[in-house]
This record gives sequence, C-alpha cells and structure tokens, in this order.
Amino acid sequence: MPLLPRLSSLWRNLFHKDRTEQELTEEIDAYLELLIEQKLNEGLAPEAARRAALLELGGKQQVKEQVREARMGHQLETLWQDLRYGLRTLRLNPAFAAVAALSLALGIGANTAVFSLMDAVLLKTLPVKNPERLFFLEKAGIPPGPKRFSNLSHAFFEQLRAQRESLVGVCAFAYILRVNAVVDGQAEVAQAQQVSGGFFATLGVNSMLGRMLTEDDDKVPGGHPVAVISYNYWQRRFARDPAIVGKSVAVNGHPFTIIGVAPPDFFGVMVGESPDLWAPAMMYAQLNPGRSIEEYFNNPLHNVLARLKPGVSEQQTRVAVTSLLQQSLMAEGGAQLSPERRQVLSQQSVALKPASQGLSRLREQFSEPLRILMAVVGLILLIACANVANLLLARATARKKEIAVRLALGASRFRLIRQLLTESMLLALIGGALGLLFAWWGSGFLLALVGSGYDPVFLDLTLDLRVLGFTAAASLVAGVLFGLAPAWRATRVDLTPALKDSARGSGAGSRLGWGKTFVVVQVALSLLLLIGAGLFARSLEKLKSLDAGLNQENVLLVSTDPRMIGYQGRQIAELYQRMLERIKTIPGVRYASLSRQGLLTPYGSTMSVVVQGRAPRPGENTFTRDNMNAQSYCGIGPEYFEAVGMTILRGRGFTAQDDENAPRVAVINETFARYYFGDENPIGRRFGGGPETSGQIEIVGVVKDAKYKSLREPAPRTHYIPYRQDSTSWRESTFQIRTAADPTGVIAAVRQAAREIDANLPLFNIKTLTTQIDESLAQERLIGAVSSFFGLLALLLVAIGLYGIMAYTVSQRTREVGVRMALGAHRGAVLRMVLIQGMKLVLIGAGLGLAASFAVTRLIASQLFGVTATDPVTFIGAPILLLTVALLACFAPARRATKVDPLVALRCE
Amino acid sequence: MNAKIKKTDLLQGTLDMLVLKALALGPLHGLGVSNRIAQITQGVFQVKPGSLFPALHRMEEAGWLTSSWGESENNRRAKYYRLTKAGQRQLKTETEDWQRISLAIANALQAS
Repeated sequence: MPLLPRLSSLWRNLFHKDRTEQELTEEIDAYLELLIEQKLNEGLAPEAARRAALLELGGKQQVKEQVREARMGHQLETLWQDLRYGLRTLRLNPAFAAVAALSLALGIGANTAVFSLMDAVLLKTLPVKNPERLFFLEKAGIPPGPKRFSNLSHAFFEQLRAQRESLVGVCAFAYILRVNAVVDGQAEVAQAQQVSGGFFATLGVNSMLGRMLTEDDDKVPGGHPVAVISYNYWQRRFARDPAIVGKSVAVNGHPFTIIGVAPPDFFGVMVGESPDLWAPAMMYAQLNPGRSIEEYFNNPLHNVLARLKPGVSEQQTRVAVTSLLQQSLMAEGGAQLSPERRQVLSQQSVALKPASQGLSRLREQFSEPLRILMAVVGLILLIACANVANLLLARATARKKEIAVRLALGASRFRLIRQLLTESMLLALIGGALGLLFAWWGSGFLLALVGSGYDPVFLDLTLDLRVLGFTAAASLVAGVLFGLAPAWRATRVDLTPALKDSARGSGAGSRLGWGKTFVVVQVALSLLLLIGAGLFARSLEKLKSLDAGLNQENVLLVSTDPRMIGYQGRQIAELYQRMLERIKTIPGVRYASLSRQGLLTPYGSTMSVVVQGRAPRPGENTFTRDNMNAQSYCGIGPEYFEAVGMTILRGRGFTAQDDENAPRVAVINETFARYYFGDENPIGRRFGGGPETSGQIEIVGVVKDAKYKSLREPAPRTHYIPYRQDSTSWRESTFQIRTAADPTGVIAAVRQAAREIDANLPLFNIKTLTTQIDESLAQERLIGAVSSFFGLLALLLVAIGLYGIMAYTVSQRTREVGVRMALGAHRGAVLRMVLIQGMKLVLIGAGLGLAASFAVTRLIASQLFGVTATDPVTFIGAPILLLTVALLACFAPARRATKVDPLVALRCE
Repeated sequence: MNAKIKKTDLLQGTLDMLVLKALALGPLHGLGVSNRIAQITQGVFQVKPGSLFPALHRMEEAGWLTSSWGESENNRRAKYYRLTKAGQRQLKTETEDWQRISLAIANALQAS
C-alpha cells in the first residue's frame, strides 16, 4: 500500500483539522440535498421528502463521527484529547498533583540515581569496540579477586604476542601506580599505568590527538620514553593545549615525550580508576623507582588481555592458548625434564575470563551494598506508587458522578479506563521528569559517598540513554501500577444510585477497601525499610564507637615516596630522619613518627614468624587469600606509639638509637603475645622469619591491640620493627604527626619543612587520622546514610498516605459523626473512634512489616557489624517510631471530626 | 438471494470492492455511488451513508480514490470521487481474489 498518501492524510487530519471538518460538513450537507431532490423526483411531497432523506441519513453527527473514526491518526487524536483533559484535571487540583508528582519524583529519582551508579560499577561494558570479544588470560586455578595476577610469564607472553591464530591482539598491563610527574617545573603526583605496546590496538581505541602506543614503542628496555595521556589529564593539567604532542613530562625524574591523547570516554580498563598517563612496559625501571627491568621479565605479569579473532570461539582459543603454554613450559625445561615434571606441566592450562567490563575493585566492594540499595529504592517506589494510587482512588470517588454521567452518555468502560490511565501516565511522566532532576544531584551525592574511600574513584555517571531508558521504564511501570487499580475500581459504578446521590456517600464502607489495602502495604514496607535502616545505622554507630586501640584525635597523616625523585637505599632512611627532626621543631607538634603502611588503609604486609625454641604449627606461616591478614608486620619510626596513641603494656617502644647498627628488636601486640607465648612474659624472647633466623630479633615491648587494616576485622598478630632495620624495599611511607590542637593547622608548616629538605619531594594523602578512619568505612557509610534517608522518606510518605486516607474517611463520615454527636456522643469518643479506625490499619501493616523484616534481614547479615539481624533495639525502636508518626498523621483528621457541628452536618444533606 | 442484506452483513472488503467497481465506470458523488451500487447489484445492496462515507474517506487516504468538488447534473455542488491507478490495481486484485474464493466456496458447498 502506498505510504505517501497515508502520511499526507495523517498530516492533514492532525494539523488542518478545521478544513477537513468543514469539507466533511459540506459533503454531508450536499449529500442530503441531493437525496431530498431524488425523493422529490420520486414524487414525494417536500416535507415528506425531507423527513425520508433525514431518516435514511441516520443523523449528520453520527455519520461525521463514523468518518472521523475511520480516519488516519484517530488514535493519536484521542490520546491528545485525553492528555489535554488530564492536564486540565491536574491543574484543577494542584495540591493533589503536587503531592502525587513529588512522591513519584522521589521514588523514580532514587531509583534512577542508584541505577546509574549500579550501571557504572556493575553493568556497563568498557567504552571500546566489541568489548565482548575481550578476555583476560590467566593460569587456570586462580581464585577471583579485585587484585589478581595472571601468573603468566613474560616469556610466554612473548610467544602469545607472536601467534596469530586465534587472537587479533594481546597485551599486558600492570595495576595503576602513583608517580611523580613534573610538567614545566611543577611537580605533582599522577596515576600512571604501564602497558605493553599492543594495549590500545587490542582494545581498539584510537587517539584523539597525536597517536597511541604501538608495539614499536615497546621493544628496547628503557628505550621508549613516550606516553599517552588521558583526556582528563590533558584537560586538568594542560588546559587542553592543542599543541600537546611532543611536549615533555618528567615521570619520576625521567623525561617522557607525550605522543597522544586518549578520547574523552576512554578511562582505561579499570572501572572506578582513571590513569593520567600510559607508558610502555619496557620503561618499567623508570616508572618503578629502585626496580630493574629484569624484575619485570622474571615476575609473573599482572594482567594479560586478549581480543579473540572473529569467528573463533572462546573454547577454541582456550585449547590453542593452553597448548601453546604447555609447549612453552616444556621448551623452558629443556631435554632434562623428568617424566613426573612433564606430567605436571601437561596439567597446566590457561583460563579465559570475560573482560568486557574491565577490572574493578569497586565492583567487589560495592556490589552487595548496591544491590541492597537497589532493593531499598525499589521499595520506596512501591510505597510512592501505593501513595499515589490511594490519592487517585480518593479522587476517583469524588469524580464518581462525572464518571457515571460519561458512562450513561455511552462512553465505553474501556474508553474511560484508557482515559484514567492516560491521566496516571501523565502524572508518572511528570514525576519521572522531576525524578531525573533528583537523580542528577542524588547520583552526585552517591558518588561522593562511594568515592570517600582511601583510593580516588573515577566514575562516569553522566545520564546516558540506558539510564534515561531505565527512568522512562520505571515511570511507565509506576504509572500502570498505581493507575490501573483505581481506574478499574472507579469505572465499576452502579449508575442509578451514583447519579441520584449527591455524590456524598453515607459511609466509608467497602468503597475504600483498596485504599485500606494500600495503607496496610505502605506501612508494612516502610517498617521493613525503617528496620533495615536502623540495623545499618546501628552497625555504623558500633563501628565508629569501636575501641580501635588508637587515639585518633589530633593526628595528621602525610604520605611521601622519595624513590619517585631518585632516592635509594640509605638515602631514604636519612631523609626520613631529617624530616622527623625538622617536623618536630614545628610549633604545636607533640610527636612525629612514620610507618611503612598507613593505618586503616587497604594495604598491609605479611611476614612469616618462627619463634626461637618453638616448633611452628603446620600452616601458620602459609598465607592464602583468606588469612592474608593473620600475621602482619610494620616498619615504624621512633615515638610511633605515642604519635598514634597506642598503649605500651610492657617493655619499651623504639628510639632513634634502634638503627641499622643496633641489635635487631621488635615490639609485638597482645594477639601476637597471646598466640606465641600464652601467659608467659615475651620480653627478651626471640624470633625470625624462618627456622635458621629464629634468633635474629629480640622482643623488647608489648603494645595493646590496635585495628590494622579494617575496623571490622580483629587485630592480626602484629609485630613492629624499627624502620631503619626493615631491609625490604619501601614504596611509600606515611608520617604521623600528633599535634596539641587542630592538626590541619600544621599542614602548611609540614609542607614548608618538606620543601626545605627537598623541594621536589612529593607529598600526598594529607589528611587527619579521623578522616582516614571515616574513609575506611566508605561502604558502611554509603548504606547507612542512604538507607536512613530512605527509611525516613518512607515514613514521610506513609504519614502523607495515612493522613490522606483518614482525612477522606472523616469527610465521608461527616453525617454519621453529626448524628452521633446529636445523640450525645462525646468529642473524646469521636476522636477515639477515628483514631482506632486509622491505627487498626497501621497495626495490621506493622505486624506484616515485622514478620517480613524477621524473614528478610537475614539476607543483609553479612553487611552488619556488632548487631544481629534481629537486633532487639531496632526491632522495638522502629515500630515505636512508626506508630508515633502514624498516630500524629491520624490525629489531625480525627480532631477535625470532633469539630463537626451536628446541625451543619445534618442540614447539608 | 432476494432477501435484503443489512449493512452489518456487508463485509468490509465487499463494500470496498463494490465502491471501486461503481467508480470504475466513471467519477461519482456520494449519492451517485450508493445509487450505482444499488443498480449494479439489482437492489441487493443498499449502502447507508454511515458505512459509505467512512469507506470513501478511508479509501481516499489509502490512495485508491481522489476527490474534487464539482457540479451535479442539476447544478448542485457535490464532492466527486474518481479511481486512481492504485485504485484500479486494487479493484483488479480484489476481483481476482473474490472469484477464487467464491469458486472455492461454491465447490465446497456443492461437494457431497
């Protein structure tokens, strides 16, 4: 069928309606005239001819309506009519429209905000070409984790790079590291990622300016001082300089030439992190101060990423790559391999892990909290829907007469339901649009909470099509959800009484059956949310009030890494010595010390311990992923325990005399002492890292346990050693500075002190210990803050809903109340009657909510700390709060009922 | 087939086909179309305006007909419909379809 005439008629019908209408009228009139003439010709008298013609026509208006219905765009036109009518009715009742749209906006906005975060962290794929063809390669049998290693050797990677059978591209990349970057003489800490030459080609990412790294940039160790910078870094550090290509940036003291800028949407392959620059793997020694390129060649690669050839399956690739691995291992072993060894090697295989979503430590940390939050906001939306459904229902009862009239005039029930649904869709869309606004600032707030952890977080939360689609879908589902029941109910009208009655019902009766159900459901859901919020809030409270074994007041933390600017070996210890001496001269500083690991950061060190004269228990010195933190150690400076406020129980702490030349000593914590020595005095006992060295280190002190990496975990067995006796290589160090007053007051002086000692010394992570502890609770604070907010919001919605339904019932029962009062009922009795009616619903809802909470809170037990999933304080407190608020919401309508003047109430009927 | 067939008995496709057939002989106004149909069906089909006008407008929107204002035989203004190329093609296919179907149904009814 030809499309063009249809479209042009649609255009005419919609936009030149007057002309087509007029033509239609003329056409029908002309038809009538012709018909009359024909009847006259047949011999009828003029009057009779006219009557016969009119009879045959069957009503001008009806014919015209039938033509209109047959026309193109008829459905659209009805929709338009319904929308205009809907807008008019909303305008007539602005209070209703505002409350309904606002509760929907809150519900939809909350869902959109949480969804956009969840999308970015859990669902989105990498912003590269065909991400589903990307896979991480690793030796099979590695447990999943945020920081896993491929366990593939560099030698094997070289062979992989050479083969072209199943892979289009393969590359290796390391975890992001902090470097000192000097641009135009200005030093700054930047995030760098070391990648093999095929990184960008494998991902399929092209440069926005200049060119990307290629395999040719990754051939000679130390020979390719080039870097690609991120769009973000280009914008932040170089003010989008168009002539950036060819400029130089000194990374850890080595000049690198910038060869290109990555496109704006490419943040890398680590979701939640964004490197400022990418540099070739052959520059390993320049990027990692104090390391040599041999370490890169001899250590397993962090990550190996490959892109499969089109048409080659995952399975085929695994087989091909595994056989390559076995060949490579056999060749490495040479001819003298024993048959057993050959057997072992032939068991080795390569595993392929989907890489379409990249790597993310956020994903592991926040996937559980985000799922919980998604459930919470889903419930909020349900509560909001119940609220609006209730409002619509009350309004539908008020519009009963209108609906009855329209039904009586011949409107079909379907047509009326359609019109009422259009109205609720309109509400939902207004709510959705407002909700986007809420989502916009809500997601910023969420991002701040997620990003308040120790490491910086980079997430792109711009509202994209997926999020908008989600919002639209949520709005439409909400619209149907809250619109259908009231529309169904409203159009089931018994015409005769509805038209006769003055639209004022005699009793509340069953007409509000639905409404009551909504209130009960709302109460139940919001109690569930309140209890959840209570549990999270109490967990957070418990964590915060926990005795961490530290005195967190008035401590400033400052981190540095002198290796970035070329310090090595003893130079570092001497630099630290000078820094400590200089910092202590700053007025207001009471103690200053340093440690290898920051307190309550995700990073720690593990070392095996063998105590002299005690046989090690089996397994106590093997550290797997699960007991990684069982045995920790930390290199620290003199006065460390005073600086962070730990208590020395026995013996002594360290002094400046405990240096390289002094006997090796250690201070242990209570858990260490209890584990190895029970009730014996550990002072003077000795231990070491292995059976031969077990006499190396003498224990000189015992300190009270303090939290080490996380507040949630008990303190591990920990020993502290003087930093000058710690022979392992140090990446970065943190200074702890205890001040007499507000520690942020000495920041400028500390910076000045560092500059005096070495102007290029990079300082970073400058913050108070209190902040640091807060940051270690990012996940708990996210759930705690958001669930509390939504718990209270749910309470507010319930109060609104309850108030609405009670106010409505009271207005419906005015006459009954009037009669009661005329017959001598007390105001108190009336008040009680209304309150009991409302609270009965609340109690039923609360009962259901409590039962649901008992069943559901078990699911969140893993996120709780120090409270059980059935914490009595929460399970009693939350219902009391809910009942109080509900009582208040019922009280106002109840009071209004007592104000009824019996005379007025009776007369107005 | 002498009994009067009510308009509800008219299948939509049948009405379209009759209108196309009526106009195949030359342009007509609304009343002319219904008269022509009564004439060519020997009075079996009497199309009421309530079915005729929606059908004319629908078919015009489909591009089978065009319309223009003109003078009737006794100098009255009326809207005339005429068949387009597409309309002629449509009449041809509908006629063929109808003949096939009616033949099949006639055979089916005669089968013992």
